[in-house]
Amino acid sequence: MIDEYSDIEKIEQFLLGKMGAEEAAIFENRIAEDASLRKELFAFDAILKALRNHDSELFKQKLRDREMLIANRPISFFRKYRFAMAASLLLLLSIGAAIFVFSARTPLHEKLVVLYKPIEPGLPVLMDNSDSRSISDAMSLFQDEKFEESLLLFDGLLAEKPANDTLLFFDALCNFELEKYSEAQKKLEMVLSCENSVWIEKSEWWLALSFLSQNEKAKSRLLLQKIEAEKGHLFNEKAGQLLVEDYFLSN
Amino acid sequence: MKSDISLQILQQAVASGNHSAFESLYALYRTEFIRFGCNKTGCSTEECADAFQEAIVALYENIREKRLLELHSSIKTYIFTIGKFKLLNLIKKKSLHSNFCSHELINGNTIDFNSMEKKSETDQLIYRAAEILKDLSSDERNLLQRFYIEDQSLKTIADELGISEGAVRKRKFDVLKKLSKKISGGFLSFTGTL
Repeated sequence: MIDEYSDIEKIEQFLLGKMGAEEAAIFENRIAEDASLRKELFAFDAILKALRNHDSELFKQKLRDREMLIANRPISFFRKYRFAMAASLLLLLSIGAAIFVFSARTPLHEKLVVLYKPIEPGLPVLMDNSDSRSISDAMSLFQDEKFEESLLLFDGLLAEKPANDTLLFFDALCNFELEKYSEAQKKLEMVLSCENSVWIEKSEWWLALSFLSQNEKAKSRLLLQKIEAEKGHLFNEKAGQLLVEDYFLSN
Repeated sequence: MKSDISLQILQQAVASGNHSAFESLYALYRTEFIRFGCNKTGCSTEECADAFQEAIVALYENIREKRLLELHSSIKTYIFTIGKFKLLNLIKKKSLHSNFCSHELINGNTIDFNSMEKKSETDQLIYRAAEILKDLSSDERNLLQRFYIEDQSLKTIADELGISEGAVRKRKFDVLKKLSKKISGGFLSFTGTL
């Protein structure tokens, strides 16, 4: 029993590298000569390796379990859609910034023009038989907000009928939309000079807006006060509202 | 200095048979390694995850076998380096599969069939030992695990079990003798190498 103990411990020390070099050399000689000791050594070595393999397998299994947990971990809503949310936030910020820049940079009188500009639907019926085709095309382009093309046709028609108040009014509006305010004012004043024109009240309003667009406060105020004073004027109420805006209240 | 402390923690974890420190390490660097592996080698996420797992196992085994006693880099660098080499080996293997001309069999290199046979015998012996280990009681397995894997002294084990050191030595001897008999019984003609 003592020898067996001793041999087992020697094998153990030999395999675990706990034996000194000299002792290890002597032991190696013994192994070479003693078949039964060699057999014990192989068996012991196999046991050690099996123990280590078993431990490594347990460890690997734990890592595999951990990997399964990580790989199958449900992705939170915020994590899953974080890029989409970031993009949306960026878009909102951009829109906000654009609005801010527009508000900060756009002068007050221009903002008022945008705010008070009426929607002109154009004419649904043909006004004149001889020129019906051209007027219809010009009106159609006006309604499609193709103001440049529409203006070309209205200018052509006005060359033939320079005093036609309808043509003058829509020609003026095309100029207004194209920011050609001087031309628009000229045409609107011509409409105002036409007695009994159905476009007079609208022309006064658009002329007031046209002055406002060019920051001609005094001219615009004067015209608006006239509109406000006229009971039953199409833009009577609107003129009152516009006149109490900060722009007109300040000097 | 910081790497020494980390290594110390891992060494203590191995010595106490506690794997949780390694699991934390695994969770800590896994995603970063996968990103690193995918970018540097072009391997898939699964391949990178496998390589990282193998790197952690290698770290664990190296600490357990006392092959890693000190580190001159951080634990992270150590793991990433092993993982990177695992991926490079994988790429090399893949290219060998697709290019048979580079295979040693085709190029006429000689193979030591004798050593392959001996290796096979050793593997069989280990396999048999593993099967026999399963028959041990949990106390017996625990004793071997603590002494040979966790490197605990007989005195520590004896103190915890409340028995003498000599009694623990005898128990260990009995278990080993039992195992040895069972293993040798099936491999009388074994001539393998260690």
